[in-house]
Amino acid sequence: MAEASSSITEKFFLTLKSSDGDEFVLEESIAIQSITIKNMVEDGCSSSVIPLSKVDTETLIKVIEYMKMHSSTSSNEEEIENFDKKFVSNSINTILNILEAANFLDINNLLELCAEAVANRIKNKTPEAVRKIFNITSDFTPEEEAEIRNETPWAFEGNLDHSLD
Amino acid sequence: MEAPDLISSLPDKVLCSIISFLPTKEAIATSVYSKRWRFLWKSLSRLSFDLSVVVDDDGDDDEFENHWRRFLRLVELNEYVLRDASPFKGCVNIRTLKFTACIVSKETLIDTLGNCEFLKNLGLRGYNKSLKNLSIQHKEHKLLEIHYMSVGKFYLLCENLTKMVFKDFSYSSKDTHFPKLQVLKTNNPKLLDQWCTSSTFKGGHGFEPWKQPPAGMHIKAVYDRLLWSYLLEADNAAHSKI
Repeated sequence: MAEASSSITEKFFLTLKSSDGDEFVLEESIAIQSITIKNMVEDGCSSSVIPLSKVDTETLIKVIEYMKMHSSTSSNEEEIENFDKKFVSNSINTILNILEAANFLDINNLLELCAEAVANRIKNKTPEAVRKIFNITSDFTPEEEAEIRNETPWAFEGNLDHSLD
Repeated sequence: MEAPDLISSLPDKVLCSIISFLPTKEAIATSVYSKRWRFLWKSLSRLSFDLSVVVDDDGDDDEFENHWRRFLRLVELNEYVLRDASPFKGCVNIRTLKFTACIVSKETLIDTLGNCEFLKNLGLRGYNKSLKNLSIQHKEHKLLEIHYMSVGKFYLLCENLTKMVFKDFSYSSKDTHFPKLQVLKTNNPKLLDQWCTSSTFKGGHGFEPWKQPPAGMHIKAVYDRLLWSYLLEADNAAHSKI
């Protein structure tokens, strides 16, 4: 019981450091939505600054925004829903950076949210349009590509959207 | 300078997560983007498909449908009204079938199970709150889970069934046969009494016709640990006697 009551009154803070060297102080209860950070806290590796060498400042700010909104104490369902809707309207490159960070930090909800946002950009597009949107360079020869299309021709049929919106 | 390809440098796990949000047809079409994407869709644990396409069975032998149906191993339907079993025609490789909050008539369920020849696991959750009769008959079926359901007559004829999990499940009468059952889990003490005293529990594989829960408070221990669950389990000693 004593332990439980002390954790209510006393707040712990962690310092996260981005790859650009910027430091962010965050309540531990919010930061441990990241399983990677949670494991570090549990292993006692969090007493000083936690360096996140794979997450740049711009991305980390977004991730922290997300974690604050989704921490159980402060937000209601409608707020969270609106926040998520707005969150996925970030530019596609920002979303991809967040996706990589969410994977590294192991924040499953954030990963799913961004993965779905990316999927929505792919949906109903021709492969050519998708390549342009995401700067994917095809390394297939025309013959190889024709062969793949021929394996499952039905997967490439239908009314697809050529636009890059 | 050309803009970097940010997406293709993401780990496989993340790309698969993206693809898993696409309808099956489009998930497969990602294979043509580049060599990096060639086989990613094949490692997906789950493919989502547009059921309106599946259920609109207009009699055409659509190559796409026939193609994927043969490969399906697991199907989960959520909040869906299944009018007949036609979407499951040819789905011979389904091992696991889960219906959550679906509306499926007794006849449709029977036909569906008939199509899924090699089914091993069946889960029904909050399916047809008002279903009058529930009938499950299958030769291969091994695991049955029923949650949040209340039915009239409960028919169960499953020669190879080994495990049943019933949570918040009740029925008014039953007609059952499951000679190989080894584990029954339920949070309904009434049900437990009924099954324990029932002679249906007397099978060819070491089951005593339990008049009461076995000695040693095995049941209570499990109840405490899982909070909701009573468990009856054939212990190894009983098996080795046979």
